[in-house]
Amino acid sequence: MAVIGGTEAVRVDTSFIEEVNARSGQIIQRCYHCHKCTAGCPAAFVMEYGPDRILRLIQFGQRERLLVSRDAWLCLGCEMCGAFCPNEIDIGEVMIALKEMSDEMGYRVEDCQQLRDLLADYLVQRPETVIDDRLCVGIQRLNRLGQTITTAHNISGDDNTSRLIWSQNLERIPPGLEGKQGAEIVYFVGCVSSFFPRSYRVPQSLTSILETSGADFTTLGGQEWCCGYPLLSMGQLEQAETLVRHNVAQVKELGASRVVFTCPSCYHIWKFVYPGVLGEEIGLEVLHATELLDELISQGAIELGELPLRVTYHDPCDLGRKSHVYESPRQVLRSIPGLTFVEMSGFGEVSECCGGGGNLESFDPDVVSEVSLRRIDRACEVNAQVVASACQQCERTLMTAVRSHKGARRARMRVMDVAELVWQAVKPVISDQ
Amino acid sequence: MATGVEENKEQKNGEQENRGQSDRVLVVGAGIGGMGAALLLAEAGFQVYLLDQAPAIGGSQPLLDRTFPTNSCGLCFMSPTPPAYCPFIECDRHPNIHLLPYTEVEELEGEPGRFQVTIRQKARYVDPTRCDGCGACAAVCPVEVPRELGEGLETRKAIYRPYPQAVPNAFLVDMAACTRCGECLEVCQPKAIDFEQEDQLRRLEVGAVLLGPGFAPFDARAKGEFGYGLYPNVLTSFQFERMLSLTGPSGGLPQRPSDGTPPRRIAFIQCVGSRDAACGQSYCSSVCCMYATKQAMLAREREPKSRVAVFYMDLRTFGKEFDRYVERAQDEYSVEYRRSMVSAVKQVPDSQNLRLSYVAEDGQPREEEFDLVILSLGFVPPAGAETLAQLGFDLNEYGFCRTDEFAPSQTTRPGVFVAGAFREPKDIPETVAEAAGAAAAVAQLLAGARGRPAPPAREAPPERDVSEEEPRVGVFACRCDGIEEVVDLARVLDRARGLKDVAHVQELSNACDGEGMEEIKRQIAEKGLNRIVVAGCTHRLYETVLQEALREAGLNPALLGRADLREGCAWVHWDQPEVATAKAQDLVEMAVAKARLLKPVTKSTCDVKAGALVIGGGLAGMTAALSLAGQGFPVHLAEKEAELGGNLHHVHHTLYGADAQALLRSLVHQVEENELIRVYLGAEVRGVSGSVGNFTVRVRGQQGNEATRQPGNEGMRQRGNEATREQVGGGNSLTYPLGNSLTLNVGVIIVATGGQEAVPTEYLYGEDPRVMTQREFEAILVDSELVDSLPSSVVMIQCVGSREPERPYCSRICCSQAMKNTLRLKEMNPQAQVFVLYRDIRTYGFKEEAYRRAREEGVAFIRYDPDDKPQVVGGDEGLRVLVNDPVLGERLALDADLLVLSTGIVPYENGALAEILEVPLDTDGFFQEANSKVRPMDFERAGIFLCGLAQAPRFIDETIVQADGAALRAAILLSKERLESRTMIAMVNERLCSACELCVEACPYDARSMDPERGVAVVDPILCQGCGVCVMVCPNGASQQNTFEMRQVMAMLDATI
Repeated sequence: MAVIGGTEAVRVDTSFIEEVNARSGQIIQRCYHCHKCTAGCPAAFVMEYGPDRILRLIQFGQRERLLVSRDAWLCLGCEMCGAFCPNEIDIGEVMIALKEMSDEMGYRVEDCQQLRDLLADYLVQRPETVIDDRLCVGIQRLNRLGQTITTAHNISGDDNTSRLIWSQNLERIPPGLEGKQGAEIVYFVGCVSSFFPRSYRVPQSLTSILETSGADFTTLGGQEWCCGYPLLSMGQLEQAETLVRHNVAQVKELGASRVVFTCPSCYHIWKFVYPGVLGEEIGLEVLHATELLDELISQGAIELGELPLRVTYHDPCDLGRKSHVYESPRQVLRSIPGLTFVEMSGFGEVSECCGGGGNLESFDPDVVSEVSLRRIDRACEVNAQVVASACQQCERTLMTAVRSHKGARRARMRVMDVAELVWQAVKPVISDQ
Repeated sequence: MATGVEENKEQKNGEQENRGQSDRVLVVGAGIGGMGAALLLAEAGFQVYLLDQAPAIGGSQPLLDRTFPTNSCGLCFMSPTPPAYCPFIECDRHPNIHLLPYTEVEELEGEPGRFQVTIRQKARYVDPTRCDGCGACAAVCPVEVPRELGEGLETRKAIYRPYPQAVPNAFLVDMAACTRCGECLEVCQPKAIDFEQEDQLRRLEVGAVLLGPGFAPFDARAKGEFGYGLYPNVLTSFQFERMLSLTGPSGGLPQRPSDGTPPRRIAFIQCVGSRDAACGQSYCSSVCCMYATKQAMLAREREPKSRVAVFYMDLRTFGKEFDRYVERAQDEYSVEYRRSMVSAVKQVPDSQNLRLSYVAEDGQPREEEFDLVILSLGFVPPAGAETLAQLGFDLNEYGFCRTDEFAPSQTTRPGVFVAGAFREPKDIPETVAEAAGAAAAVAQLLAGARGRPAPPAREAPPERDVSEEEPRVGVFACRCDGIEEVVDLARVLDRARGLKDVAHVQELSNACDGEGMEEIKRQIAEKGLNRIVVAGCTHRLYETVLQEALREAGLNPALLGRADLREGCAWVHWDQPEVATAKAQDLVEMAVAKARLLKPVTKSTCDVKAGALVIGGGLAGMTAALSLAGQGFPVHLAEKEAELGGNLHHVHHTLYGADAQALLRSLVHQVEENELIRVYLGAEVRGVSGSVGNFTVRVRGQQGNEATRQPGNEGMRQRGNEATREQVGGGNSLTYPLGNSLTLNVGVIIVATGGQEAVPTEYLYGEDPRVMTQREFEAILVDSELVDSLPSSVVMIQCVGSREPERPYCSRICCSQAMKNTLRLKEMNPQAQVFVLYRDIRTYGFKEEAYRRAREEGVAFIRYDPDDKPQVVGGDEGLRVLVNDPVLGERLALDADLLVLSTGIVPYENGALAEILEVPLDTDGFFQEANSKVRPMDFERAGIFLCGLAQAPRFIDETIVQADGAALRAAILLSKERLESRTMIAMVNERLCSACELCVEACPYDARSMDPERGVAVVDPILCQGCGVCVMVCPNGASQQNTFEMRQVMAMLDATI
């Protein structure tokens, strides 16, 4: 064992770094510590080490120190670090690898006393080591989330057959909304929009627009299972394989050729991770709702009325930086007559995370608000009436932030999904007709 | 205009090829390197085609107003015949250089010595021989596009001149932007615009091709996180360079493009497009740390209320005096250097300020607002590099030109050479040295075809003695190139006619053409004229031609006066004909007033001795000697040790794996085999007298036999003198271990005395056998018997004794040396633990790849602060090194079997030799070159050159090009049979001289001395460069300068005031 700052000499622990490299697919030792990752990390301020020191500790083989730190669990998965790393190190992947290893080494425990017992020898050597109780509390929450997903097939533990509960409030439930054979498009609603009432407006708006446009679409209804993203970011991707195979099989069974998502995390994992899990291309066109809306608008399939609002757009990390969809949502917003579109400070590929990324909301909800309030500061700077996004998770986080943000509250700032804004612009046109 | 001149030049020189090789060289790329190489080759007697794809020559130079580390322009020092005018004009004027602007190379056939090149001269749509540069076309052109110079900081029209003073100074049409509206056709008086013009294909015969196409700036848009192209107040360093130029759009003042206000807080972001594998730019661009420092200083100077922060990773200020430059920026200009990359640049909505997120020294992320952000762009291969490579040479993995480490000027196609940034990103001094090195390689290849000295001028009649004649001034005014359109020449000549001593006035179409000159000669004879004033173009042009005409008419050439009615009058006042005419009248009056007082000047000459002395038989000395011998000049090579090779004995392989010992053997063999090289081992230079072209050098064997051989070096030429000669290597060598003194007569001297690895005094060196220098470690690594006992853990400490108050410079090579040895160790023992403790990693250029490889191999790099150096404790078990890791902010203990110290290079005791040679040393004890930037291989003292470690620490490839370059500088002098003094040199009125010696002290060229017998100051006419400093310091007016005598200048002033 190597100790830093102690009496024993430091060694470059090749076994640890090689293991992390193999798991994460990165070459960590390339890092020359330019600090770019830490400079951009929205969670670095609560981390014990921060991204670039984590890489250094890995290089020096500081296994225990890292695995008992909360840092990896605080990662928002926003990829601000990896996207611009000059040495091409995707630190998000490193964080996931550390979580996996913590699990395998038995450090992923819900009780800190248990962890202290496990590490008794190490703690004798390094008595200054602090094991933060919030680590185990957070892990407890994540374990519960993981179990819920694998058993209930969704993140909330609700009855999975009630996935379309949001459609009850629609003026008219589109025919064929659930499991329509032969539909061209399957709308993959996602857990949050299905089960969290504050997000119902997202699927309600999209399905209403799709119906108006005459698109041939359906949903999986109760056969939609969690996409597996939360498991991926907590380092338990292998447990998601059943979910992945189920979801893809369900869509294919209906004979659809396109899958559309309002949730960027579902979209991202389908598009970039599913093929790896399946070991083959999924053979379906994977679309985000904003891409589909952009297509429908440019085809003239929907008609947009005036919406005299000053709107800014918050790029969801999973959609923007991680999936490179920047233009479609903006294109959609700009095509709404009367709408004034303004960019916030920090948009597009350098957009800051809302705070709702990764599993941070489950792991430590207190941290989330600090991050999301900064985002609302930016929206206030441009006097936006509406912060639009294309992610129900960003919207939930930002909405909570708006409530506790003085300036935003005074300005009666609203947080809306792009689909919601489009539906607001479409609705009066069809009621006129 | 320039192109017209070109045609004249080509006709005059005719086809001078001999049967075997062509004496013509094609230089591709007319930037700093290309111009430098062209001038040297032209001076060396070759005919040079200087080609550039841009419409004007100059490359990146027009962008640079000030250059580091002197913060001056200084390019004027670059010409081979200092002090001279700027290289642009020199290239334009040189009779052996033929400019081919706006031209591309299409095809290259044939072989070294005899290539056929097909070139495409792109259509300019403006005939440069007709265009008078008046600019009326651009004034009416409705199309505005971003201007290339300064990356679109300004705009230009579709019909444009690249920039004022462009060479050639002609307009052209950007057909991609042109709408063919025809407005310009209407206003063009000389009818120079022709939309139907087509590209012209031409074939040239050349003996060699020299590539110097330079680089292109990285496209900042590829680093989207910095907001370039999105936010107006994010500029590239190339735009900021333009902004800081005094001729730039804001007159050199920093301004925020968004609102034109002066920025108070400026941030520089380094390594944009450098050291960034993620954007395909894994190498270091080598120059950005320095140019950013320069720009930061200039910004602070121009906008004193501003604060400047530079965000960087490693400061790579590895060149001579560079660390001091950064210290100055910190101490005198308060430039802040912050060691953190910036995550992203985000614009603040209303103020359009920019938010930068970075990591502060405490390791915490911070956000800070700036008014202006400058992105320090790296270098990428020049536009069209791949097309150019189709000529048959290879590019490397980065898209730059591939060369051999030991033949750095040679591309993979024989006969095609390369210099400058196209080989690897580099700064001006390096480029200047490389240009000379590549030119030397060309000169060596084409040695047989080198043009002989120009045949003597036509038989001239004896010079008429005009000393007793009353002045009879003839004034000839030229109509050419836009003068007559603006200036009313009739009125100018009317006024001239009435001036004192004017005996003749006449208008000519061109004084410089054959007809014009015949007319001048005829009038001299007919009217008995004895002073001639030509009122036409600037005196920078056609001076020699016109002087020759005077000489042919029996007048001394110094009796020619000039009035500039064109560049300085008609062209600049094209829209004010009245003003221009009045000014022309005054200019002519001034010229006449001076001409009346002009006196004949007799030039002196001195013969040039044929040989060269190279002092130092290491890599630099042997390379220089071989280059000179390869060009046909005899060389005396004096080495103080008992064998050749110097430091090269201790280098076993290079960073790139090349076998340095093979290089050593090959060089020694070539030197010993070469009939033209005489080697003196154990030899020291004990005395030097004489001056350029004719030095007398006393060389003595260290054993100290006092028998002196006289005269000259005849003794050495006697092959039978066995007593002082020893056969070495069994070849045809003439290697002399000296036991006595001898005297050599040489034309030039090259100093290549080398340097040495510093001996450390810290970290238990000398006390503990496990502590050693990099060189000693390298010896262990190559000793095959020791492979089994290789260390399993090594700690290296960089900058030992370097960059410290007592030795403040960076030794440049040590970081790469550490990488080399580390990688070697890792190759032989992959399990070895290696820690490198450093201050800044300076693996510049493509060497960055070795740093990356070392990291990938698991070498840990830990930065230390000079105020908190590592501590070394010796013990029985092993060595222990304690160091603070700034990344973790924690103290580390490292165990090591071996501690390897990178100690850097120190100069030898150079004082004695410097005194003998009368050349200066720099503050660090290395030899001081004439100009660190543009004359890196010259001493101020004419005829003495330097190269290698004697000048500054450098790598093998850099030493080779520099030694070749020094050899060519020397060869240019040797190729002249005699040196002739200039017209404008200083002279002494002995009656007024008070022997105060102020002029002797003031002369920068050692051309002044006291005549002990007569007790007056004298001028060496060959050494005098006509700078005029002695004239200024002379309290009695005893020092005067030919053609600029006090009386003459005062008369001019009287005429106009």
